[in-house]
Amino acid sequence: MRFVFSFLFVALSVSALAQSNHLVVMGGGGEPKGSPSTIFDAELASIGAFAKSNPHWQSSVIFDGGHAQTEAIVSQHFGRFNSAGQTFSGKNFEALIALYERRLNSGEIKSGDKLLIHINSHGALRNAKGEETHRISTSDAAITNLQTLGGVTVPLDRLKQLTELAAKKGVKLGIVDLSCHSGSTLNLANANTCVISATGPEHYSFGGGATFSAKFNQAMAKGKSLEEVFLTARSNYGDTSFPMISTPQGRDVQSRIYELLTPYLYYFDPQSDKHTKYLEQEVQSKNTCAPQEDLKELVTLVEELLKTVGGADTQRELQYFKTAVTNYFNYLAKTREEMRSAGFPQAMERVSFCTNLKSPINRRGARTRECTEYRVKDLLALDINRVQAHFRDMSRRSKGEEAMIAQAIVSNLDQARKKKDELLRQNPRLARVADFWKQNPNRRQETFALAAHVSKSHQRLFEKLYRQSPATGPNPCRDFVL
Amino acid sequence: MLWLIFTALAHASCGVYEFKGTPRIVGDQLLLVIAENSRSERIFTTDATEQAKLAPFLDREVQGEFQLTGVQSPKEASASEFVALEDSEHDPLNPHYQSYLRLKEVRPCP
Repeated sequence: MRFVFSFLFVALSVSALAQSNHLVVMGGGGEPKGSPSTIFDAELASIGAFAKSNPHWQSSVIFDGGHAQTEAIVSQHFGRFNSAGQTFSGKNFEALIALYERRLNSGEIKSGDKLLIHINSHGALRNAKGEETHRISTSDAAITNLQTLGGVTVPLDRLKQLTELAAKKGVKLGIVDLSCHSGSTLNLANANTCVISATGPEHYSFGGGATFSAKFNQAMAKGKSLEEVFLTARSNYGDTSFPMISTPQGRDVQSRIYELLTPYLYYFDPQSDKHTKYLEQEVQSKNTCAPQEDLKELVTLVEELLKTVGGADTQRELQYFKTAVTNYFNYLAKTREEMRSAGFPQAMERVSFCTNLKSPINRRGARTRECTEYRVKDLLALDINRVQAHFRDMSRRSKGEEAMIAQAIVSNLDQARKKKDELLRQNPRLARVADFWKQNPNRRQETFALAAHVSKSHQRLFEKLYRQSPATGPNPCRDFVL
Repeated sequence: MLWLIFTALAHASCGVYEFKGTPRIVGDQLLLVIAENSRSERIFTTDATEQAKLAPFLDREVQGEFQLTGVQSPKEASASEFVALEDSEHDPLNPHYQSYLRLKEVRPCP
């Protein structure tokens, strides 16, 4: 009898204290209307498959809204899609976060429980003015730009309070952000919260096929820690992202190589171009040795590592990385040289033309000068005769302030013409600047191939540095077991 | 996408917009035209100082930001404070990234 009571007591205690697991899946925003699917479908299906085969995880989903195929995937894996409550709108995002805050506060989700937030939407670059993380697209509108997004977004800073509550209540929190520029989300990590991102703060992420996002979701399995899932996916993926993790080892390696590798993971793409902007900034930089110094630091890192690691495969892959990054460096150095020959640093400078102070514009009672400012490359593209004729005509047709301003612009364009002639006389090659980027029709393929080689080969470097990292401290990614 | 442009102007709020469009000299005005030659074509008038900013991009697709200052009709609005103007590359593989107008930040009308 005593045994029976003891058994019952233990069984009841275990039941009362049983840990619960909670999965929140959100994203799929910013996609254009008109198509039945979204670019997030493959990853939605794979996280859905995880949820379906692990019913001990209680799921909540707000995803997309307005794309029949995507909604069907939600229905298939998470139960019937309810568009009012499950569309990934700003309103539903706020309601869901508030709900989980209440569940933590009330003790419904308690110490020892796990909460995994899985995010997959379009992600913006972090705005350094006031944002700790970055914004992601909701389904309220389509994006217009892959870097700043446009459309309608929500801030992942909104999760900050949840991370603090989880730490206070002893709830294990995991945040997986598979969106573009998601490296900024690592700023939500703390001793209790594990954050994993599909890429760095300056890079795009990708989905489907053999991408990191696809591999990560596929590697999620009962009994594996988030750190194990991350390392498995990160050791063999095929895209040009830079996945990150908030463990002490991850932070150590990322701080050593991410910035150095950044330009070598860019490639030219007409709609989402980071490569051209990087080169245009670089070519204006006073420190022309910086790329060479960064390459040297990377190569030294690899050579030091080569002395300590064994295995023919590893040695070969590290050597391959050295070759891949040097090849891309040489390509960029050659392009910079061609840009300089074409007058590029000068083409990015600004020139300003202003009316004479002796003949100010009377603007709403104030006497001001009318100034017109252009980048040199825009001045070179300016059809001055045609534009000047337009403003001359405007000055004749209009009256008062508008006529004065139009006349002032005509005068500024006279100065602009002189400047343009002078610039072309001093450097006739400037005339080619406007067409510089159009001269190589293979730029997209060439830069993509170079970036893909660097990305593929750096994976072994990351893994080895991670395993050797001396960094220590709390590791909530290791403690978060699926 | 074009339908969205229509709704954006029909119920437009004053504020900062991201756009991609083409500056044209039409008659005696230098205008910004968005969704050109479509049923959703919209034109944006602006003052002389702002027209001078658009001038280097005349007859070419340009992207950037402006402040919508007023709506005169469902097809015509006024804009100012053009910034971040850049030549826009055309990508036929991504048609929905062609001409657009998107509200970035609501601001009171002047």
